[in-house]
Amino acid sequence: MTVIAGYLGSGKTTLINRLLATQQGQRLAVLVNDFGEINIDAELIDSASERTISLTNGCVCCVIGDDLGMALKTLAADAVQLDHVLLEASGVADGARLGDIARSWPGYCLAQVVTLVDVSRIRTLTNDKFIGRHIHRQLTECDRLLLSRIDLVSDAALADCQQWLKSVSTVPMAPADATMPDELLSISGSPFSGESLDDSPGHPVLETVSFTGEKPLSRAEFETWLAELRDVVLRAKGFVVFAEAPDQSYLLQLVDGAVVELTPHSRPADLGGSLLLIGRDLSAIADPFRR
Amino acid sequence: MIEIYTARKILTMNPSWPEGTAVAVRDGQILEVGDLADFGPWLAVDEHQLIDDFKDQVIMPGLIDPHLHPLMAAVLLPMQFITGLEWRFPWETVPATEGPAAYRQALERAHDERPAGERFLTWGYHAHWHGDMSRQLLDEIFADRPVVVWQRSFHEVYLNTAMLAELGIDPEALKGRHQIDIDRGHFYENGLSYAIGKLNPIIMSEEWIDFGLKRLKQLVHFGGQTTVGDMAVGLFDVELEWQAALRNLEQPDSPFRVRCVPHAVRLAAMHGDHDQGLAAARELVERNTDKLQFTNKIKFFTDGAFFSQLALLQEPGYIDGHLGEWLMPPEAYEAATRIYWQAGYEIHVHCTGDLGVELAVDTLAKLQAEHPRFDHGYTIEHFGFSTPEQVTRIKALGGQVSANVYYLHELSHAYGEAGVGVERAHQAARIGSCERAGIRWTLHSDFPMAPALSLHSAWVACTRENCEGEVVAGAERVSLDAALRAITIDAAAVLGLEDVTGSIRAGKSADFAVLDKDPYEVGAAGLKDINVVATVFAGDVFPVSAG
Repeated sequence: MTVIAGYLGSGKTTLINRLLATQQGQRLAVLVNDFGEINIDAELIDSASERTISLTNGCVCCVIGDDLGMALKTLAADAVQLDHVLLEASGVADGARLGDIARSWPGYCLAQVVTLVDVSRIRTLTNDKFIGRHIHRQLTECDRLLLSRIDLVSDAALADCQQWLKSVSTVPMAPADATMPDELLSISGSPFSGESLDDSPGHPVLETVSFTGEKPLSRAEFETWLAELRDVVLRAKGFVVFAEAPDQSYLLQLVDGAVVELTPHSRPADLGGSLLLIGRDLSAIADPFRR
Repeated sequence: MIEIYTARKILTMNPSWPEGTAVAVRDGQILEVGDLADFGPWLAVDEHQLIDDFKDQVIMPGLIDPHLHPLMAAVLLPMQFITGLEWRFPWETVPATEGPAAYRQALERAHDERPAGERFLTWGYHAHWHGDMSRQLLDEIFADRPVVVWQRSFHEVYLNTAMLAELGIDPEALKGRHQIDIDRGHFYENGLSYAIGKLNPIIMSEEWIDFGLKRLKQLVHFGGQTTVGDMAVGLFDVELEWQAALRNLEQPDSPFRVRCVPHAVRLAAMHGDHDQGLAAARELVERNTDKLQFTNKIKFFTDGAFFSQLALLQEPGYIDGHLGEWLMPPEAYEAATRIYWQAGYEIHVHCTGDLGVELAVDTLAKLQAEHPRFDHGYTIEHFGFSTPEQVTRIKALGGQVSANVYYLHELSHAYGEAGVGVERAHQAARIGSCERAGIRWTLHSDFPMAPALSLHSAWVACTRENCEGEVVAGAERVSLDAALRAITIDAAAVLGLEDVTGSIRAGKSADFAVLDKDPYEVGAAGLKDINVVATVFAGDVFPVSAG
């Protein structure tokens, strides 16, 4: 997970839009405060609900609301194979503290905490009586400062600002526009991750298995099979067709081994069933289509 | 049919007509209060029934707790309370449990009293009172019984091995995770939100919530309250809360009304933005029932919780240098409140620290300059830390204050020692200044943060006695009369219900608290020992069984 901090108007959304538009090969989940300014080409949208938008390139956007735990749960249910999560911090949040959630939540680790800095008004903000100390904390407690709105200030003012930033923070800085997505997505072993990533016992190795089959399944046998997943499967998603209603597909979603959704779906039933499971020690799981 | 209640004394809380010995009621409405001998003209036009059950008691207006959280209470109340301070409930008085040995005995007793294997959840553990806690300790006492120990601040839980197994949590998978000490079964902050996700099927089940709300009804009644404010509808989920309220609080056995104030940020998150949130808030009013009523009131939050030292402080801040937290960016607060202010809404804003109060007051000043309003109901909720200068500005801008005095009762000593120092800790809840400034102010419990016992709150406000028996910032004590107004007519005014309840006068709802002692006779020091014998809500009598 990469946490993107910075005050209102510092360019967090612009950065996220750029990452979504330019990233290749990685499946990103973006947790944002609202969809208002996220710029997603309509052609890229695969499906959308109130809280999530799935893109055809495999990425997913999800609204945090003010319940990050719920957003992480939604994410786990909606997107089964994610490479990276981008978390947009609210304007006054302590990015490092927010990154803690990646260190608490099983299955995640913290890559970096970056802070966007609007060079045209950062010094005003750090003197603000309400948020000055919080902005100051954002400048010092992160892995990378990304300077934005550089075009709004003169070269001399920019140099001044950089000089001043160096006097208040030892964090490396770079222009936001010139920063490549890879640099933000790499797991650099943030000092704020507080743990070595290589041998972290909290980051268990997960396996993935998939099953497909055209034959409709007996619902009773399928439910017996689901019960066996409880202790080993973290997430699962897919479609099944039951013998009792051979013209109807069902969407299945499991989180932490429990079924959170098994509902009729518009997918044509003649495509058959297709299931993807993520968990530990999956070798013992039987193929439900081969019973 | 007219019912006439007689009493040793009736305290009307209407300064123009302060006392009586009889009150006539018809169809739940007060017809007249005063002397029975004067009621002849009413009795000539209708039959009447004399109710003299309370002839030796004192009748006050039904008390009002203008800020509590029913659903949060419902989650907590089914748990067994084992606490450092005493909590009085109608179903039991939870004694103060002090010291690790006493705490362990209380756990052992809980184990012995329960059928084998039944889940046990307890609330109130705090290291300050009860020493160390761990999964091993719980396993030792409870063996196979699944157990949850919820810490007093709500920010930490401990789970024993059987509970981890029941929730399907594999300890190996959580080794090394931040803010989870799985060896000790300890989950806090982010780790807590993970644990709560697992516990939700238990503590958010309909059965659990309905049991919790049943207890909430009992304790609100026990405290003599006939009106409460739900000061953040949507804190969990608007629809879930509304359905739970309809199932429980709208029922005939529920002896109080609820002023429902929606949570602005949740409405905006649900509906897209604050403009649409406002539209949704207006629609909520159409749901109003007899006992559950929305109005043009809305709830905001500035800074973090007082109990977890996340209140935002002006200089010199916390002694250890940590910062409190903004719950929303100040610019966003201003923009959102402007929408509600210009729509004529009454804004209630949670502020626990003096920097949170400062934002609320600065914002009110801007809103007044742009779009002046009289009698606008802008209310500072909680009012933990503040400055004398802020009191002057609140008065000048027409603001009001709803204070939680339990902060100073439970925490003034501790925060003096570790937190902010004595000067600021002792002046928490600066309501003496509010009384002197002529600000309208009230008292609340924020239950389950503090006991929903209005007379106890009034006692703290008058005496400023903390749990160590110290009188803190005596200059901030309030007068007895102001404290009694604060839990009756002034609370009603802060909820926008002053035409309905809060005093005993012709035309208002027959809402009474029947007391075994006269507060003016026992004085400030005696307020906490007054017992509520019964309440009357909209003309129906609800006796309080022995507590």
